[in-house]
Amino acid sequence: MSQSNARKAKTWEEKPAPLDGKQAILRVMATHAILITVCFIIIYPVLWVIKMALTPNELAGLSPSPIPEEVTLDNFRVVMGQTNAAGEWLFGAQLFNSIIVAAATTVLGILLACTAAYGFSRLNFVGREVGLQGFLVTQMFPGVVMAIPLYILLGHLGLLDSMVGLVLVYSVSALPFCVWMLKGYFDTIPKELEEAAVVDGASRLTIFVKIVLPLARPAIAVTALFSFMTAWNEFILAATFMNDELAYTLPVALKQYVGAQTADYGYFAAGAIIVSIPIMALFFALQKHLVGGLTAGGVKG
Amino acid sequence: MALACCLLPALLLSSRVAVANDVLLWHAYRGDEQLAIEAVVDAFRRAHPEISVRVLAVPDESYTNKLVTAIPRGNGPDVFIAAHDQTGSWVDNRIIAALDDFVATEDLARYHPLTVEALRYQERLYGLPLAYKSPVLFYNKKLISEPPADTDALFALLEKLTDKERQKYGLVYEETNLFFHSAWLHGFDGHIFHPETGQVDLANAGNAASFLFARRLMQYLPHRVDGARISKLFNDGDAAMVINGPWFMAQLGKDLDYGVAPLPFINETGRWAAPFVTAEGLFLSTEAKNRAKTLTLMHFIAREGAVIRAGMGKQMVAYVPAYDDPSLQGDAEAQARRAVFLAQLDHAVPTSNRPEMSALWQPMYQSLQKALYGGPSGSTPYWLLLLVVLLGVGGVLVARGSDPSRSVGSKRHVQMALGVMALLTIIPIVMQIASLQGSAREVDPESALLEAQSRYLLVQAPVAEPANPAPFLAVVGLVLIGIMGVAVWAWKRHKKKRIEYTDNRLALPYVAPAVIAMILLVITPFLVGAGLSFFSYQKGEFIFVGMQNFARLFTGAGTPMTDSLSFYFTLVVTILWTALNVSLHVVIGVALALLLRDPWLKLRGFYRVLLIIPWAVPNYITALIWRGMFDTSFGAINGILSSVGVPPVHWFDEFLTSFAANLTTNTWLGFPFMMVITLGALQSIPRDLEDAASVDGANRWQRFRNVTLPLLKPALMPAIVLGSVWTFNMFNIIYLVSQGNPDSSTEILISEAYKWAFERQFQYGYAAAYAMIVFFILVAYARITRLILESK
Repeated sequence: MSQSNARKAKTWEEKPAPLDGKQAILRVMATHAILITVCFIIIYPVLWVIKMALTPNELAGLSPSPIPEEVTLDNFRVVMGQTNAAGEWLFGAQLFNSIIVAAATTVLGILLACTAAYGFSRLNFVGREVGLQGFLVTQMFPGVVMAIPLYILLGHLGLLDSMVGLVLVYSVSALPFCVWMLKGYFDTIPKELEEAAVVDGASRLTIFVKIVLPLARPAIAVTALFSFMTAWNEFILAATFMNDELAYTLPVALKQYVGAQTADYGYFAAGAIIVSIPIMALFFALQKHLVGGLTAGGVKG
Repeated sequence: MALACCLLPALLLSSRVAVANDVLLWHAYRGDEQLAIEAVVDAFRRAHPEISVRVLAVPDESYTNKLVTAIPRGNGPDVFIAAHDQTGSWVDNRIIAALDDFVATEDLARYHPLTVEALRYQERLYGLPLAYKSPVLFYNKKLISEPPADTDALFALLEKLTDKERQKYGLVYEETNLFFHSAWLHGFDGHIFHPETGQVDLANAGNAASFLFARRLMQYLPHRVDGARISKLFNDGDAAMVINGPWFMAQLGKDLDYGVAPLPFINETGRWAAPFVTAEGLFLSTEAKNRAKTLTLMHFIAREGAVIRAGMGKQMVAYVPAYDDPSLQGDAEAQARRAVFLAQLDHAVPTSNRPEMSALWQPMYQSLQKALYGGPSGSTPYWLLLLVVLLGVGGVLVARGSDPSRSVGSKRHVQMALGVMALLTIIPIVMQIASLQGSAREVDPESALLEAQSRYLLVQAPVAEPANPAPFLAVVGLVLIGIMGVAVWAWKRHKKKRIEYTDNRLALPYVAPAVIAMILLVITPFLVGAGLSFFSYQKGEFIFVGMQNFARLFTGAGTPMTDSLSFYFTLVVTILWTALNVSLHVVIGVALALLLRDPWLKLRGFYRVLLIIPWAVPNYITALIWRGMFDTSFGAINGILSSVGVPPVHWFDEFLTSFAANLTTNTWLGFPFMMVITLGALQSIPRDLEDAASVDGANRWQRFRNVTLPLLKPALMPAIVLGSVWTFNMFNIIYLVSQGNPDSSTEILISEAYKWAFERQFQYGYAAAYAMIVFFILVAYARITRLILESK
């Protein structure tokens, strides 16, 4: 970041000279028109989901209007009040599972990714190049078919129907991308800062924790976001590894509403809104770091 | 750190510690049936307090998958409730135990004989009958006073009641579902298995005649309706009759005055319409821990529990004495209906429980589709790929040819000419593709059935001959020696160069945790998966078959390249999918980024936030939303189309429309990534360069082409490579939106591999081979793109 600030040339972030003439006004209007149209097309499915969530299930009809004809909060009530046969609150258990799994994945993911990325970025050790390439190659493993060996492995460890198993699997699936991104970001942090600290007598660990990590906050935020999203949104592995309804995460629970026979779009829509709101809120809170974090990592990577 | 400490105990506490129950029962019931089974088990607990029972409601979707995988590992139930049709396959997988020794003959006689027969396999009884489900004729009493007793009366009623203009129909049912069509199939003396040889024999005269009968019916019926639409039509009084099963009653309105009647007699053949009947039974797991206690529970649920299941659960129970129970006599209408369902059993055929049966539904569904509505063409994706290639090549040539800065005049003219020619050939190709669409191929029943027969044979796991592992072990040994040799050579070279690896010990704690985690949870399963590709999973065991899986894959498993199950077909579809998606993402993303970067644009931040929304929505939710929007009856897309007068499109019944639906969904969720990358890259492009270009007289397009685009490339290229790898493996969209429809033609390699593993007789080995090929393609692709990028 400091490098671009030091650049003398004007960039697109600075205020330009004011525009003049009819041509300019036309251009402004055209741009706004295009953007508004595109935004509407993009937002339409979201509006449709909100409408489906607010429409009673029986009235599901063929209307393209994003405004619901009849408004009811019943769908939300039904989805949030789901209980299993023993009367235990299903929705609460599943929400809890999702939160814990996603949070634990994030913590574990950041721990593993930060340390590994720092090692790859700063330290000179045997197998460094190979390790980096290896991380990238694992991105291409077709994860869906690895489900079988993973199922067997977790079964042997007794981790099926347990959140620990899911957390372990999710943490490593987001790892290559996070390491790649963090390493790229660490690479942009000037080594002089660290060397100065070494001269002052600081240990490697102190440098890592007190100097480098705080500087890398945007990239860490993005890493945390990706890990959380990976865990919160994943459904195929959760559906395979969990048998007990009480152990499900929210995506698996949600999929049930749109099964082969049933198509309860009202309930699904209500559930989808409940599941998406926290993740979208998190996403938007951190989105300003996205542009910086991604490109710094991406370009250098 | 503190956060981690708080989370750890929460994690451990919530790992469900299995309470040791005497008996664990699994079922997939919902609604009334679930309440009933819980009530029955409660009654059992009161009657037998010494036996502890735990009941688990497993969702219907993955129920049978979970049974087959969980029971052999000891994670499964002691007893489970399921439909009888997978009995044969479960016996072959050794997960259920025979019950002949545990059920007294007099006791067995009290269950309806058809349900008992359904639960027999190879002369032995494997399930205790609970209930049965068979389609009957539902009719609206306001529209029909006397239900039709034979097909002549049926057609007379259809003539009278059907008015397609006003969307009133005499009859509606799921005409392409074999379960309902079976009534006509057996009525016309057709069969699935040859009565003498026992082999799968789909292309027989009786089946073909039943197809022709269905064609006659379809003149009066609405086409291609799904379950939800059927309920709506019947509830609204727009359909006078419905062929459906007992579950239909739960979907009917309370005020609807309806009756049920047995399916009619077929005048043409002199036989009764005889539908399939499904029997639900209790199955005993081979791994059951307390067999005696489990059997006590089973008998209770089947016998003593029958009345509760019939009343509260509204099931058609198999235990015949329950029908005379005084507590059920109160509701005369319900009793009358139960009597009709019981009577239908006199003319019903249990669905075969042989393992082969589960692979026959899909082919029969396809053949019914083809015979009733015409067949799709299998060469469309190939033409489409040709179209895309021509478009790309033509576009590049025209671009090069029109750019004066690139090359000399004459060469440019040649490029231009070639480019234009390439673009012009697109027109006849588009016409060719258009001519292949829709009900382009009229298919007669015999051909449709023959195609079904060959599709069935294809999906069956070929009986694999064990191969000799010796050559493989030799190869593995050589590879290991080779690796050791390379390691020694690298070590020697390292010693020579004297590269100082100064931080070896320092790096260990930093890098080790991540690397160990990767090795354990990613590398090891991957290697196991890779190894699996040399094995074949047959009847619960892995047999070494060497390269047979790969041979089968590369020969397209014996199908022509236009068959949607051929590897090459799927490969072409996957390439099309990736190319079109990434192109659209880049074009839309870059265009929007350019629009957004003008600093005098007010509300820039607002637009940017709105445009990132697709990326924030979880992608399986996106997939299911779009599937809902493309739904034929309730979808918003058809809603918009109908408001401008276009008739509803059956999106997932045609390859082009189904592929378009998938493409739209993935584009919606994929372009923000490219947009954000471009925005970031644009931020660091100095404006001076573009200003200078405009001073030199370049217009906007030229400025973009010659100044902006080359500066964007370094940032865009890695994003494009990453994006194309992600798209190539985009499982969720295909699996959830089109689900591979129609007829597995929109499957991409990764979703096809999943289906081979989990939905086609668990052919794990073949699926692993598929996955390995996907992996090698991607590695090659990454290599090639890196070489191209680095050479620039």
